[in-house]
Amino acid sequence: MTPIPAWRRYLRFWRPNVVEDVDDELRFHTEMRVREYMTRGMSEAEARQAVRDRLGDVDAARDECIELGKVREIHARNADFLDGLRADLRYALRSLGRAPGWTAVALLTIALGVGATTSVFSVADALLVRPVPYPNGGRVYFARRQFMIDSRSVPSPLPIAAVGAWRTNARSIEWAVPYRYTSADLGGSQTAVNLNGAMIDDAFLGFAGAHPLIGRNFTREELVPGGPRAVLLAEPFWRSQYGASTDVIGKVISLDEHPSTIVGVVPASVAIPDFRLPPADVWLPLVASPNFFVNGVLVRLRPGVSAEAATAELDAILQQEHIGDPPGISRMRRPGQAAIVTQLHLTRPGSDLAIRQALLMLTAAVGLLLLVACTNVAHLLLARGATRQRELAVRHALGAARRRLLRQLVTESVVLALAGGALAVFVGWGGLTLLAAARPENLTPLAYVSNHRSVLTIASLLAIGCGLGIGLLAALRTAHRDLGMQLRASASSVLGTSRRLRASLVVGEVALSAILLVGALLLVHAVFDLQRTKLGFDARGVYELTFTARQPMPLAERVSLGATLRARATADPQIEGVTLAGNAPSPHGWVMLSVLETPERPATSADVPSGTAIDVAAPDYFSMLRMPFIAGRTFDGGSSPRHEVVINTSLARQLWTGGSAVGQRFRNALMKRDGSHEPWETVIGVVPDVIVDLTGGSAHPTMYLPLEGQDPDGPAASSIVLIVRLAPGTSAARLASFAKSVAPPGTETSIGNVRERIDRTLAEPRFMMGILTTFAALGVVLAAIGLFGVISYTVGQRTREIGIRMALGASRGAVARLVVGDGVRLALAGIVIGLAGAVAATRLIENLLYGVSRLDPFSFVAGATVLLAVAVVACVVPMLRATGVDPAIAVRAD
Amino acid sequence: MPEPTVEVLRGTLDMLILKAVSWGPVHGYAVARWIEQATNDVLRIEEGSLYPALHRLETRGWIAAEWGTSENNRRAKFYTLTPKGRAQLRLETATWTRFAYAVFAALEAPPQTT
Repeated sequence: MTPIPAWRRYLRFWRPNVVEDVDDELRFHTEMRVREYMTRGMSEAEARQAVRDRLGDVDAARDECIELGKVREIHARNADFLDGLRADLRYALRSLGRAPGWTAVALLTIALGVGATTSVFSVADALLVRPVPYPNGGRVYFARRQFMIDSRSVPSPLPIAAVGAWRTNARSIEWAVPYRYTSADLGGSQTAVNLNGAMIDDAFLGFAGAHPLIGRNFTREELVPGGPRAVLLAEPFWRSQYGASTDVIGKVISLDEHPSTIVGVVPASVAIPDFRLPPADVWLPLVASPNFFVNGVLVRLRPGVSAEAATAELDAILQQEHIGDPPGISRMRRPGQAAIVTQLHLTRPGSDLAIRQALLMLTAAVGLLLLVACTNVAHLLLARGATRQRELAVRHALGAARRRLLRQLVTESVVLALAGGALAVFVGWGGLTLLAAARPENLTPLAYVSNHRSVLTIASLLAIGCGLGIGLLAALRTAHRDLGMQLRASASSVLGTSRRLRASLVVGEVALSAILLVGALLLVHAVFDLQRTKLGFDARGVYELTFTARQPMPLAERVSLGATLRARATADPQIEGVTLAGNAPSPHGWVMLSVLETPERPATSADVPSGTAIDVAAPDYFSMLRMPFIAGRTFDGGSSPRHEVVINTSLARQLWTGGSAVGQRFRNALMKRDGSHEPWETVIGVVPDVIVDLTGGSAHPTMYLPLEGQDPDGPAASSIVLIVRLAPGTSAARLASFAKSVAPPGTETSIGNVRERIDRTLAEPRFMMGILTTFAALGVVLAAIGLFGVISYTVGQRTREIGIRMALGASRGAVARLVVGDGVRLALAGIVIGLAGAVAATRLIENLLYGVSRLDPFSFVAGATVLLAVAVVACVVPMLRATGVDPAIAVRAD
Repeated sequence: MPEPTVEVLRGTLDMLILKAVSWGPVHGYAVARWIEQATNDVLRIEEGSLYPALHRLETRGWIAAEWGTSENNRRAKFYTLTPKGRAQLRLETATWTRFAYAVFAALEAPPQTT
């Protein structure tokens, strides 16, 4: 038997070899026994046989030993790792705790950067990335009909009959479910709460892959007209209103004054991903006759079917079954053309989101902010690494491997990142809550972002990613190959490269925040400009007072009531002016689909329909709102039968370019519902354009019809609208008490502030401006911290040099210039790069600028100035420290 | 000589091994020799099962192993008792002693009187 070669033991220096170890051990045993037996007088062959007998089943024993050895090895490796990790963690916590100021700045930076990113990413995630939480959501589409007007697509509701036809005939889809938005008043008429409702049929929950949390789905009987009235509660509403009580099942509530039985609760995760509609509080059965129209139909395509193929088939089925548009749209026909062309579209949920562009912009902006934050942390880690070079070098010299040191540094930054990430979860939550709270009413999509669970995932992923990335980079930089050199070389020569790296990081940081700042300033400029838009009328103190009766009033009654109300208002000393109208200038006024023609220029079939605003006005409407007549005059008593109208300059310019409009005639060439032509209207006056949507740019072409002689069955038949101008210094509360005192019994009054209503159209741009400005401010602060860090560090490094300079006669002013000059040079480099970047990046926000050029010099100059000023401020403290250097001490130091 | 039952042997073997390594680092062969001598070879254990038992105890953390050089300058695996193992040995000794006393007591008890 060969003895074990001695060198083999060295193999185990690197890695234990389980199999060989077991064999060695057993072989040693055998050897020893054989020798023992041979000394007792056996021959070698006899001894070997005796040992084999004594050992028994040696193969089984060997296998068991190997098995156990492997288990031990794994345990040992895990234990080693955990031991190392524990040591690293302890060390990391201790060294972070030793520099509390540094740690706080780093943590705050991570928390802000990652937190802000998390809240925006959560929104983007909910609205853009995963808008359909349904099974096979990738194949779910909205089927909608729409037509184009003024290059905007207008949805045309689908008759419910389409769903039935598709379910029976379409081969390209698996299933189709209709939905319709509705609102319902909960409770008695006095204390009613208005709820958002979604109407669905019994197939919807199955389509969404969901089950009621408690209770049951709608039954067939509940979907038949006249069947039992049932309602499903949405989970959030159930929790907030009923305290998540299971006793609600079977309870009867009053919805729109109809008793309805609660049959179940729909989980919060179920929503119709049509973000234009507010999320549902209650789900109601879609009780429908074939002519019932729905907002849209959700369809799930069969696997492998393209959206185009499905659109074609579904459209063909509509044609086949003669399923048309709702009457309101089909009436908008005109000579020579069959109908307004509505088209069936299949769209992915979220793809037609109006705020899609804005969200993409915010995602990009917050990405920049995260970059700034990361840069800052990298920066802080490098600064710290630089001061620890000596410590690391000593530990390296004492035998710590470079790998081990690296691992330790990375552990430290990961600990930092995780702690920052934990804070970031709170910042992210806070951010989302803030976003939801500050959300303008017309941004319904944001109401769908309630999934706070994603915040945790996103924040931790971001934090760990950033921590590992930056940590590794900084660690590699700190524990670089020449660690051994550190002890011998004077520190500053080796630190030179690190200083250059840090300087370039600061330049990058300043550049990124310059991009953010210019973007924010552009939005500020745009909003500021929009706010100062000339409205075309004097809106100071103007309110709209609406008196609505329960039933339509006969024309005579309406006229006399209007006259009474007007007289009461005129008599009130606090009311400066009053007039009657269809409504006050408002972003939600009536717009008529039209193709206008004049006797000289009849419409052709090539004309595309566009929108013309229609207002109804008393003769003194224009003088009361202080709209001076550009030409012509206002209505008189005979205007209505003579078909006289007042138009705005836009309409005048559209129809009679150059020439005078007064005395000319025009009409809408689209035919009435009964197929007859509209009468010719004669222009008697031209007034300035009125801007009602501040983001909309120019005004709609508008025609004003005389108030007298309006269609007695029209939609305004049950209400009277008074426009009043309060005397300066009068409060709106005074108006409310006036309205109460004059309101006839049985009418409801509402008061609208005209200026406020118009201002509200700016809610979305203001919202975007607010968010972007916050990000930019954060970015600038972070960049300032970075700059401050670099300059203080440089000052620290150059203390001796500064001392010598001062000893040689440099004035304090010269030293200050030296230090600030350093900072300003870095900042300037960053600003120049940033402005260049902004030239490219502002393309993203171009459509949010409403006419302000994206290269607007004001924003660029202001951005550069602000950053430069911040840079100088960031240099002040290091500068004071530098000028405070005592040459006598500094020169002797070290 | 009657064969000792396997169950008794398994637990007993672990205990004997713990005892054998309790005086300092020993290799497997020495453990086998000690058991042989200490029991006058009454418990003629199958030495094949000795090594899995050693490894089992090592895996449980009752004994620790280290490679070293034997008295005749061979590479051998030496086992020592860990603190955990020492506690276990104390426990098993006590249990075993109680068990043995109980059996003795039973064997020497007078015939049953009803």
